[in-house]
Amino acid sequence: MSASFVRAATVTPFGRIEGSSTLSLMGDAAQAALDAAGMERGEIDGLICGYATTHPHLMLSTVFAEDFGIRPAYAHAVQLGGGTGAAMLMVADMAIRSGEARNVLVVAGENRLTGMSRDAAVQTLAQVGHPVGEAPLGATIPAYYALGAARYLHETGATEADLAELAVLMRRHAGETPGAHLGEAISVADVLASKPIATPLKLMDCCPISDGGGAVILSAEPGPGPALKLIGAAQAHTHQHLSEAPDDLALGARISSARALERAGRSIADMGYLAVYDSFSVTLALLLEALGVSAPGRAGQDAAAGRFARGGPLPLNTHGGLLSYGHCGVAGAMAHMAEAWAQMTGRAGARAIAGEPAHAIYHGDGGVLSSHVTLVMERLS
Amino acid sequence: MTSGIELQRCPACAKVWAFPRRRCPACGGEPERFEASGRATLFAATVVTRAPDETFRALVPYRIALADLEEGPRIMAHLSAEAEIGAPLRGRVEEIAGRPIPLFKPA
Repeated sequence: MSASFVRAATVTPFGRIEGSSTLSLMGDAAQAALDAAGMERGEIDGLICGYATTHPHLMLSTVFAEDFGIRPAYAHAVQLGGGTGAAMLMVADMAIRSGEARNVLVVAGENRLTGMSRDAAVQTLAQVGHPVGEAPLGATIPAYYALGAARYLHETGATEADLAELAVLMRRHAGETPGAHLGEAISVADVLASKPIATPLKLMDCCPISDGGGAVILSAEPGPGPALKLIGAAQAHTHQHLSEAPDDLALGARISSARALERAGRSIADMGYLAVYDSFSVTLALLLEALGVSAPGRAGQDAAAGRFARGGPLPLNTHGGLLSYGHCGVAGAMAHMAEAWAQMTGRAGARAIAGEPAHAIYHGDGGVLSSHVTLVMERLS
Repeated sequence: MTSGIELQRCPACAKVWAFPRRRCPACGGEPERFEASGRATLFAATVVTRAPDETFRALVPYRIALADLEEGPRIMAHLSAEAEIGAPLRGRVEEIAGRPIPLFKPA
């Protein structure tokens, strides 16, 4: 049975990148991925791209293809909010396994910070809410997640300080990562004292808005050197709007991760590296618990105990995640994949994790824990 | 007293929901509209201090809640005062920020 392999996964620096555009960031990331894979433009025969709120277009994939200089045999864009990065990889894997393409470039980028005002970004993102029943109420994305957080704290007995531990960990990891948007160390007390946004979430429970780009090359061949093989992928979509979400808000993550692991013939206990979507501290807590990594209410305490540290037994988002490496839309969650590839193939340099785990899991979530995509990967050395 | 909170139900399969739809999402039947009693329990609440625009900036801090209506659906609403999760609420549509918004109060 054919399979796909990660030939390269790269991101640009995230943060304030003056003069950048969607196409410049996509191009910078794509060129870096080609260079890292030792491949030429002409070898790319498949192109999957995301979307960009600063560059809405009917045909972003071919706009990019023309600009970057490739003529793919297969191309389209994918829109699944924060789940787009993982969903693009899943469809690229399907294209490769079906024989439709041999080398698929998966790319996204957006100047979400410098390309629009902060109010415009907040309002654009709030449209994830229902146009009649939610968004007109003055609700924002942080407010939707805050409602989930309030319920999470109520049901599990976890505290705001527990959630803060996850933000502190992501910041510590970002402090060791070149190109991170936010690198200055923070403490739990700093998170708790940061500006209130929507209770129980404070500013430092929330990811920043960044400029940045990311690219992955998925191939039918493993290529030279250590490689990463995709061995299981699955999705689950339980709702779009928070008002119609199941009581178990992260139910979709349970379904998609269980199915992806089953397809990979592995269990969550086999995973030695975690790449998990973290738009808010509570997102990370809910997903770690839904994936079966942490017991209910315990994700923050697991982080505080060092379980997810770079040198710990189960390293998590060692680049700093959305919370601190930054969030530029679709490419934000591609940084999790870039870091997983670097760590799993011995390319992380001074940031290398302690062991050489055989398996990694990558989970993306779009909307308000609405859309879930899980990928399971295996190291080939 | 009427709540002004409009719901839909499917005469064919008895499903009840809140977001306006042309068809029953369970069986595809043609829905009918009816008004909720306004009785609910609190599922979750947040105090918003970072508003999305100037209109709502004038109202901060304001509470947004998920209220479980006694008819079944969960809706997003404004909440007038602090309340515990699970607390009984009474609500009706009021004008907030110049638009009709369901506002709930502890019962």
